[in-house]
Parts: sequence; C-alpha cells; structure tokens
Amino acid sequence: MFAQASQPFHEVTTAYNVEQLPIIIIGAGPVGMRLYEQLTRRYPQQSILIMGNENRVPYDRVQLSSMLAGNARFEEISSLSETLNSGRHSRFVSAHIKSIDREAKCVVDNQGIVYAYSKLVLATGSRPYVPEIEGIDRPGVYTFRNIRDAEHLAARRISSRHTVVLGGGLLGIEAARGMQRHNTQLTLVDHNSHLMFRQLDQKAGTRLASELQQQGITAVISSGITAVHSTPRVQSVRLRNGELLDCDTLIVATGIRPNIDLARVSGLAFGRGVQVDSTMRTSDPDIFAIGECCEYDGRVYGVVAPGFEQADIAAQHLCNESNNHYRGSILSTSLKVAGLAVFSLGDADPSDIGVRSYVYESDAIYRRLNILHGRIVGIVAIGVWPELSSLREYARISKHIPPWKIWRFRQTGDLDSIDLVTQFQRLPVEATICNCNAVSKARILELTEDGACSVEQIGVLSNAGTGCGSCRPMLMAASSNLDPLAPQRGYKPLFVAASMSLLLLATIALFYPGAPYADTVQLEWHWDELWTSERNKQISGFSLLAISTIGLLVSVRKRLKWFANSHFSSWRIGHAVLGVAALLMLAVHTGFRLGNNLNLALMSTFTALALMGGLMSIFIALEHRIDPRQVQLFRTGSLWAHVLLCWPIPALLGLHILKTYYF
Amino acid sequence: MLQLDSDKTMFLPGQTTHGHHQIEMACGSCHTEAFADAEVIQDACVNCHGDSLKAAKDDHPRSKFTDPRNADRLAILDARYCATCHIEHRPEITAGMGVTVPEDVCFLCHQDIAEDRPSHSEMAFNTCTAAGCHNFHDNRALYEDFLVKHMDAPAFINGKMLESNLLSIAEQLPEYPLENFPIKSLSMSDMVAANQSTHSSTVEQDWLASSHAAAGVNCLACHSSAESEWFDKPDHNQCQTCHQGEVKGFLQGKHGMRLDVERLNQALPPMHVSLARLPMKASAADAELSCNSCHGAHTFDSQAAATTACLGCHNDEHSLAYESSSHAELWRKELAGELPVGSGVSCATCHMPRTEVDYFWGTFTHNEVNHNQSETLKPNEKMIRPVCLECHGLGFAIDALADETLIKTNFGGPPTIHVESIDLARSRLKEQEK
Repeated sequence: MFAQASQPFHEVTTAYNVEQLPIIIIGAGPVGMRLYEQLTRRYPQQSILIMGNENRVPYDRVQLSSMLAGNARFEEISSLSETLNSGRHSRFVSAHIKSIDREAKCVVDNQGIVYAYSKLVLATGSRPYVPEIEGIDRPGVYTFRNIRDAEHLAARRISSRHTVVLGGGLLGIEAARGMQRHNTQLTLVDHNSHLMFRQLDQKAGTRLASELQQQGITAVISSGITAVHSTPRVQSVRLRNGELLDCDTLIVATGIRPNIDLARVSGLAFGRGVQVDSTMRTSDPDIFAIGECCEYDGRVYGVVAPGFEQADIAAQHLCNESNNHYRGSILSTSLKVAGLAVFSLGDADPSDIGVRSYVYESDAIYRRLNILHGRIVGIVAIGVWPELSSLREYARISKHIPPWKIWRFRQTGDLDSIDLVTQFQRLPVEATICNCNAVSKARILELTEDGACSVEQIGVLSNAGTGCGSCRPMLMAASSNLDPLAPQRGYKPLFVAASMSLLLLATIALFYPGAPYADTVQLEWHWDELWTSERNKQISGFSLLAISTIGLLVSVRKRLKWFANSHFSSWRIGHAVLGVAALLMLAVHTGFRLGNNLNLALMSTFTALALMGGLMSIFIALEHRIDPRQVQLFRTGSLWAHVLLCWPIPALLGLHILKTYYF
Repeated sequence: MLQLDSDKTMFLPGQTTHGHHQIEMACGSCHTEAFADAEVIQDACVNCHGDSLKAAKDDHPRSKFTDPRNADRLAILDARYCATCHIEHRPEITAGMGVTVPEDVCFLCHQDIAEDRPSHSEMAFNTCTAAGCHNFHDNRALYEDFLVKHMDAPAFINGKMLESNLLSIAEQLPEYPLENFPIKSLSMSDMVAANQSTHSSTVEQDWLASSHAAAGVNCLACHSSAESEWFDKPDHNQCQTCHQGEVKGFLQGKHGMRLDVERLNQALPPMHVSLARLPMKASAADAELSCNSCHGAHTFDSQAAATTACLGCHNDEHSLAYESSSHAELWRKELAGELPVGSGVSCATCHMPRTEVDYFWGTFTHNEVNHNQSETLKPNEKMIRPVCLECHGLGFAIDALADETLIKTNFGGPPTIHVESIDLARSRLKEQEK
C-alpha cells in the first residue's frame, strides 16, 4: 500500500488515438454541434473542423419557432459559440463543401479550398420538401427550416392577416404558433385524418385540434391545397374540396428530404438517406453520417433526439473507443401548445398483432399506453403527466410492466403509485383525512396555513393522526415536513406480538399438512386427544371464537365515544396479543391442519387474515424506519386485506359450527 | 343446503374411508337425524354392521362395556361407541378397517396381559392384531379352544365346496312364485308364449341354455311384475323374488351398497367402476354394477360370474396373479370336468362363498352364495372358517392369510411366515396337563 503511494504520478496519457489530421464535421446544425461538443470534451487533443454553410455562427434550429414567436432572440439560440471556442485544436469554418476526394481524404469547398481530413462526418441535415402545387413558387410562400426562413417569417408575421400553414405535423403546428400575433388568422391544412398524424392517435389529434381552435388556430383536416392564387403575392389558396381560402401568407411544412447530394456525388451508398451501420459509418469506413441525412436500418429520423443519440455513438467510434452500437431510436416528441402539453413516444396507433392499448381519459387529460408483451411500445399523452420521464425510460429499456400497474393506470391515469404530496393535493377539500377523529382536509389546510409544520403539531391542534395513526404519512405530506415519522406509541410490544404471529403462521407452512398424530397410546399425556376428542375440540373451538370476538372490539373503539379516553395504540397492542392467542388456540383446535372443503375455506381465510394483520403490525411498528410513501402503501394494502378477509369469516364460521352439530 | 338430496360436498371434513366412500353423498345413511348425539350415530353403525358383528360373536360387544364391572375400562376407552375407534372422515389417521386409534390400543386395557400369559411378556402391543393372532371383534377362527381343536390338521384336506340346492327347497321359500312358474324344463314354445318384446335370436339361445330355462323361469318371471307389467330391464328387485338371500348380500357388500335405498334413506345411482378406489381396468371404467354386470343377462352363467366377471374389472396385483395360481389350476380342471364340481377355487369360492343359511330356525337350509364380498374379508381371518378350512388346515390357513406377499401372488406357493398362535396354545395346553 505504501509502496504504491510512494510511486510518482504517471504522466497523464491519452487513452485514444490522436489523429494527425483533423476530424471534419460537415454541417453545424444541432446534431453536428452535439458531435463537436462530445468530441472536444472527450478528446481535447484532437483537432476538429466543423463546417457550416449558413454564413452564421451555429444556432439551435429547434428553437427557431420560439424566436419566430418573439420569445427568444438570435443571440439566445446561438449560445453555442462558447463551446466552439473551448477546444484548443478545433474551430468552426463557414464553408460550402462541394465534393469529397475519398482517395486523397480531403474535401473541397465552393471556393476551391481543400481541407484534408482523417475522419469525415456528414451532418448535412435535410431541406424542406415542397410539393408541386400550381403557384407554389410565388412570393408569400415560405418554408420554415433555417434562420433565414425564420427571419423572413418574422417580418411577414407583422403584416400577415391570414396565414395558412400546409402540413399539420409537428413543424406545421410550431410554425402556426410562431406566426400567431394579435389578430392574425391562422389555418392549418393537413391531408391526414387528424393533426400530428405520425405522433398521435385520432382522439389525441382531435383534442389537439380543439385546443388549437380555442387559441385561434383553425385546423382543416383531410384536405389539401390544389392551387395557390397570387397577384403576384399570394391572395388565396384552393382547398381540395374546391373551396377558396383567402390568405396572404402560405407556409409549407410538408416534411423534409435528407441532404444527400454530397454523399451521392462521392459515391457513398445511399437510400433515402446516406446509409450507415451501427457505428454510424457509411460505406466508406472513414466517413460517418449522423442526423437527418443518414439512414439506419431503412429509417430516416426527422427529429433532433435520434440525431443526438447518433452523434454520441459516432463520437465514441471516431476514436475507436467503444463497443456501443446504435440500434435505432424510439421516437418521442413533446410539444407544448400554450398550456397544453402533448407527448408522443413510439407508435401511437399500432395495428400490430398483440399490441394492447390502455386509455385513461378525463376532462383535461388523455393518456394512452400501447403495450406489447408487457412492454411499452407507444405513449400518447395530452395534458401534463409527471411520470413521463420514467415512462420514457421504461420504454427505452423495455421494462416489463406488471398487470397491476396497468390496472392502476386504467383507474388513476398513473402507472406508478403517485407520491403522497400529490395524493394529498388531489383529494377534494371536504375529504376526511383522519377517520378516527373525523378531521377533514379543509381543517388540515387551515392548520398548515396557520403555521403547523409537523405531524405532531397538527395532532395537538386537531387530534388528527392520534388515533390509529394510519393517516400520519398523509399528514406528513400535508405539513410538507418530510422528516421520518416519530415511532408509533408502543411500537416495541406491537413488533414483538406481530413477529410472534408471523412465526406461528410460519409453523403452519413448516408442519404442512399439519401436526402429526401420536402413533401409540402408551403416553403420559394423550396430546393427540386435542384433535380426536369431540369435547376438546369444542373447548378449543369456542375459546377461539371468544378470543376472536374480543379481538373485534378494536373496531368498536373508533365508534364508541365511551372508549375515546384510552389511547388507540394500547388497543392495537391488545388486538395483536389477542391475535397471537387466537393463533395458538387455532393450533390447539386444528393442529394447523388445513382441512377440506368448508373447513379449508375457513382455515385459509382465517390464516390469511392473521397474516395480513401480522404484516400490518410490522409495518406500523417499523413506520419510523421505512420510507413514508411505502408506509402508506403497505399500511393501506394490508389494512384493506385484513378488513376484507374479516367479512367471510362469520358466514364460514357459522356454517362450520352448524355443520359440526348438524352432522 | 342441508336438504336431503342437495349436494353436501362442501361440508365433508375429509376423505371418507374405503368402506363408506361409495355412499358418502348419502349423508343421511349415517347422520340419520340432524343435531344427533352419539347414540343416533351408533344406531346407524349397528343398522348396517350389527348383524355381521353378531354373527362374528363379537369379542368386545357393547354389553361388555355397559357392564358396571368394566366401568374403569370404559373411562379409559369409551368402547360403547364404534366411533371411538372408527372416526369417519379422518384420512390422516385412518388405518385398515377404518380404525383411527393407534395400533397398540389394546395396551389401554390389557397392559398386564403378561401376568396372565407369561408367553406374551416380550410381545409389543402393536403386534396383537397385526401379527395375525387377534382381532378386536371377530376371533371365530382364532380363539384358543378352536386353535387347540384344529392344531394337528394337515395343510391340505381333500375338501369340497357346497352346491346349489335352490330347486329342492324352492317350495319352502315363502316368496318363490311357484304357482306361476312351476319348476319344469321349458322349451322355445314356452318362451314365445311369454315374450312381449322384440329381441335377437342370441337372447333365445342364451335363455334356452340357462338354468332359468331348466327351472321353469320364463321371460315373464323376470321381465314382469306381479301386476303383469312388462320391464325391459329388470333390476335386483326383480331377482330378489327368487334369490332373496343373494340380493340381500349384494346390497350389503361393496357391489350393491349404493342401491340399498332402505338403509341409505335415499336413492343413489349404482356404483360405477370409475369411482372405485381399488385398481380397476381402464376398459371397464364405464361399467355400472347391477346383478347383470356379473351374471350377464339371459345366460346367467355362474361359472363366468365366478372369475371372468371379476377379472373384467379388478386390476390389483392379487387379481392379476390369480390365473397363474394353483387355485386357478384347480378351477380350470373343474371346468374341464377333470375334477368333481366344487373342487376348483374361483374368485367367488373365497370372496363370495356358498354357505349354509338356516331358514326358520333350522326348518331347512339354503346353500346360498354370500354376495357380500366383505363378509370374508377385513380382517381376512374371517375367511378361515367358511372358506379356507374346507380344503386347508387351520395352521396353514392362519400363516397364509398373515403373509402379505403371498396374498399378492394369490397364494402362489406355501406361506413364508409362521404365526405362533397354535404353538402357544399347544404349549399352554401341555403346561396345564402337567
């Protein structure tokens, strides 16, 4: 140990191969910048050139709609310049690359300048697809792709009275929202049956359309534009049904086409985009492609998130560092339409065999999960859904979703149990929080507003939580004091009694199918007569009945004022001790044999009842040591099971006694 | 829920014993009254088992325990009630013969037996009944005087079983319809006159060859009631007219107990082979048990009923070993006419033996086939006097019946174990003579 410590520090060496020539990234959009950032951070010694052809410093294209809406200025969305200058050996070059010389490993720009590269990355992105419509090339028709488009539109926005956006996808909606100003009338025209056809299902799309309508954006679906009339500026557009729509501006947002010209002239393999393998390499091992211009496994992704994933993978492989491979992305989209959150992941409305869809709907919320073999393959959500980040993770790692979680989702709209604070918030004000002392949520809110900030203070002021204590986790949430709960009064004896009852129940399993009978009569004490003598059976049976009946008094405690002076915790300990006594008597009565038919039903119900009681007592006794959220969950669960299991017992027991004497 | 014919399975506290499982759904056959006490249950036990206990000269009858001199013993074991030792629905403690007390139960009253019988001092109490020396109820073939009387009998005696004498005593049987069906040999013309149904020629041939045709029993005898009503399928009630004793035994035994409406207090469907707990042939799973299942309608071949019928269903080791046993060899010789009638040993010879039954206090005797198969079984020493001793000596019979391996091979050889009871009786006799 000392020998090691006394050794001189090793000189820091680079774990990666530093290439003599720079790595060149063509394309300074968000994905190209992401790669640049990753590379400069991971391999600060490596020289990198990033080339953009927009004559501007790189900016975040995703935020163009914010800029258009006037919510951001260019300086704010081009804050990437800091990153650009951070690398010692790296820089941004504004250049328009015309060709690649793969033999000589260099690229040439439109001015004839040659840049040699060690590795080349194509992040050329895509350009808007403009359908061939009569008059579409006239002034007043815009696309929405880059900063220049944004600037033009920003100028147009001021004077436009009626803007029509062709394309009801993500970009179209964002453009429409960006163009909204004062009295500008906006119309979205889409040929699909609902908006955001790729991301949403029919119901969610309809909800989105009505929300947009409220905000002044009209959606015309299942339609299209057949002609643009202009004199020379746009005057009107003709819809597919022949109707003329007067407008002064038309924005075309009908999708994108990958920029693959450079790859094509350089002889790289391409389909819809530049074809890449799982390391993001194109058909030339020294040339990579990422973002909207590349095609992996037959798919071209038109949003930024997969591009980032691809950039991360490419960064690792550019310096031969990684075994990670790109396996395609699950598309997820989230959009905020002033107050209306729209989220979509994977397939919104799959028709694949075996996919089951679960929907939760309320006034403001629409949530849909598409599940295949217990795994999330698609999510559609309208309205805020705090769980989304974890759901996205579940989908990414293909986590198995158990049936009860799906059940919960269908009931409550949440897949995972929600935290106590949210649970408390969701309760109506008139809800009773403490059943023992009839304290409502309204009263507790009063107290917390007056400054009560712990469970104890609320208890002193209102008696809430001083009975059985099952509402204490909820009070904790109300008081927003998330310190562990104080131990329950008398938790030690409760713990001992509960452990004993669980131990006794364990012996049932241990002795299954039951205690043995004596195989001889030559005994001092004929203990097996406990179970063979009718008299003994009656004594033990009625004793058990008596113990159980006394034990039931615990539920009377809450209902009779007369008992209110005694503390509930003493009652609870008494109940637990009686439970242990009942289990002992059960052993005397049955030898822990489960019996058959009616007897089996009675015996299993009774032991399950005792098991739930035992578990509940353990949770209560250890309340101060467990996460309060879990406490609430376990307590409520075991209490419900304990109470529900009580119900069949009188009937079963009645029949048991009746048949014993009847036959 | 508790009504007479409703399904009461849910109340069954545990698997019913092999003796009662067939009738477990007729709760009322034992639980004759609701909220009954032990006496009522006891009456139900006696109602079915009383006669055979009486016939067995029960060594521990109720009267022994109601005797005030035995009050101290009664306090230890309340043997006034069958249910003290035979608790029903307790499979976990149920041993052979439905006994639910430990094997050494004799200890409770007979712990000082060694004082009286020094030879017993080294014997463990769980061997009293297990070793083939004693039974709690039936010791007809095991009591000391009987052992002494038969102690020198050789292993093999040239014996012979009884033959049927129904025809000779028919006119003395009160129910026998002699006026309508006088005993005489019938021909095909008699049958044609009596028949009221269409049938195949096989039926005619079968009947003509049967002992029924030889004894004046025509179609109407079985196929019609006293009111001349025609049945297509006569049941045991019809057979009973002439074969009263046999049907009585059938209803008491495992083959017919479900049909005993009188004692069950309700009608159950006939026993079905698939319900049996003994191993049965899969091919017979669908068969139901009536007189005709073994006797075969119209042929009424008693030789076929004695083995072929049994082996058509029973599939346990003992049954399967029968064909290769020496008993079967004798039976085959009898059938071939090489040996006189009554010298072969069929299944029925031991399990449904022909025995002399007294009618009207000895006025006449009917050599009846006892159709209650448990009359000579459980414990198997019950078989010794009516069956084994016809051809074997007592010592040989006791040894053979105590040898479980031998029973499995269907007495394929001499006994390999020896029960000391005769030796002990002999030495005690010698001591007394001194």
